[in-house]
Amino acid sequence: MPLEPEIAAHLQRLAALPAAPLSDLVAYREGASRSARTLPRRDLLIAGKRDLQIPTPDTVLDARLYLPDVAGTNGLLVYFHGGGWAASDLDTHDALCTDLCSVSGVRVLSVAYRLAPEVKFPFPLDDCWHATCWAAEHAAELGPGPSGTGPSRLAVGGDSAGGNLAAAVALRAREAGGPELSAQLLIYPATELSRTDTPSYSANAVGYGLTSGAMRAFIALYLNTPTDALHPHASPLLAPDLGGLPPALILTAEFDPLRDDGALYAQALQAAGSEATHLPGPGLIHTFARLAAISPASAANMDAAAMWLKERLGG
Amino acid sequence: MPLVPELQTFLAQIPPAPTERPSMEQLRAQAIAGSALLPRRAVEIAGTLDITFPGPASELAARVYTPTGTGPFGLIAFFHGGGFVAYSIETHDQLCRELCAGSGAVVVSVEYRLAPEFRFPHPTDDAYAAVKWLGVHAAELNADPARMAVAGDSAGASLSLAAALRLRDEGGPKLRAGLLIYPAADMSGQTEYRSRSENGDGYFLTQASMQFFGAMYLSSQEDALHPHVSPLHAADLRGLPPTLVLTAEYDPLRDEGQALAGKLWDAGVEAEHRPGPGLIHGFANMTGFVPAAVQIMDDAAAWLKQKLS
Repeated sequence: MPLEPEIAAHLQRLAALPAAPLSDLVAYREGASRSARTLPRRDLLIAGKRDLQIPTPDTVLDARLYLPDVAGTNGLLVYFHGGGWAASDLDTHDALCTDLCSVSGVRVLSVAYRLAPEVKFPFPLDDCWHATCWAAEHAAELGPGPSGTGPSRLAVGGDSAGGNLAAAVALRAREAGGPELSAQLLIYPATELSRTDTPSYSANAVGYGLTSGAMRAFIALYLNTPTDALHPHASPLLAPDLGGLPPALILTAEFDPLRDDGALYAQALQAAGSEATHLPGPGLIHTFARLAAISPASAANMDAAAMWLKERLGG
Repeated sequence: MPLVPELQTFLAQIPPAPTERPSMEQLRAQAIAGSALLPRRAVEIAGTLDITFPGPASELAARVYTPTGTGPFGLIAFFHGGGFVAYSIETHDQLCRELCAGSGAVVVSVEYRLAPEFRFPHPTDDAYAAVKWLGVHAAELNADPARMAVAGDSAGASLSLAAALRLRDEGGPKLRAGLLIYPAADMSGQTEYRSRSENGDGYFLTQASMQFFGAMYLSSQEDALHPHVSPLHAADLRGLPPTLVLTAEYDPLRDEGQALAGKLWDAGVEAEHRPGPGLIHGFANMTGFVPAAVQIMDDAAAWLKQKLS
């Protein structure tokens, strides 16, 4: 179907703005932050949020905890923002996390893992892994969750590069025998970094926000060598066994180089016997998860994702 | 100067040695348990990877510490101390993190085989093989084989020097530097060192322990005199890379460390000696609570950074 009209208007606005090239990473990161600040927000109601720090063996990570305004759910979503492993932060994805928390009633812990190229594969993933383990150990303290309910149900999620990291954390949790994850929410994830010639890479190479060229540049920033892309922790789609993974919801956008990455991962999970639901985004583009305030179809898909999360983690 | 106050407290808390020597299994377990109790100071690195590589007789484990920033980085092969018989990658994890963060180099901590199951020369074979392997595979670790160093503490310093001698004599990557932290440099028993008697008891490492370690590591007096064991006795030290020797004032090994630095200097090596006033053997693992140890270890890491830049 054609681009949703609100998305088309958004792309026109974007085209009129100056864009820093990825080769100037400082300017690029500033641009990403600036454009996130100018996006309209829905700002759905939550009880509050607070910043905290997560110690890992390698560093101390900033994180932000979002508390829902409803009682009764004790779930916790550990969230990894997108940005090509090289840009964005807690602030750029603040509205997204607020809305997810509000609609799902699930606490959200957004993690500022360290960015490439200063920190390259697999170390940003290590940050996400350590943060997830920390969240599992400290879920009860990440209050004010209802007392007397059992241990928290834990999920991981993320968009784009963050979806890639979340899928890899789920693989690592299975390999390590814990922590137990009840769900993985993968929003237009990159799942096969060794293959950037899928039909969606070709069909949506330019004109829809994220370009195929930018995606290839992000991959080069994240990985040390092309060989890294063959590791399942970089390309979850290449994992020899995708069975026994937590239930997955995979959101894709029609006009997105990464559309096939997401769709193929959903198929592969199903083929391996893991529970996976694919929610396609007709008429949508990459980044739609942050366009809920201007795009009704984006809001509907993100709210569906939040309700799915509530079902998985609620009670 | 007197012992720094933090170490006075630390030594006062060490329980008296049992009358019966513990089994090797107990000794190793105690070493690991004791290390786990030491406080750690926060340092930032990119992360670690556990790898294995082909050793002379078997696959050997190693942990790769990568600094933040953009490589290729310098590369430090690290060998932990422990009298050739105990300790591990885990017990020296914090030390390696600090070296990595402070030097900006990739640090590879090598799990060489321990005595008495594997006596001399097996641990030196492992150390030499590790550095040679790293020279070939540096690029895979985002490191530059032209900017390599060896480093180690105590027994690990002895292995570092043995590896450097073998690299010089038998071939392998050319080293830019060696960091020897309170090295055991003379296990022959033929030379009297004042520090061995003055500090032989009551300062963590004891002279009795040193004798025990020698008995475990070495098979004969011939071994004890080997240049790869007692470089102060026999070795021709010419052509070694710039070397920094750290010693501790209250350490049985203080005087041989100092003598080694002097002998290196006499052999034309760019050698430096940094004494550790008020410190004891093991201070490199005590940066979490001994400020004087922080200073000397940070200086050593900065020295490596400069040599590997």
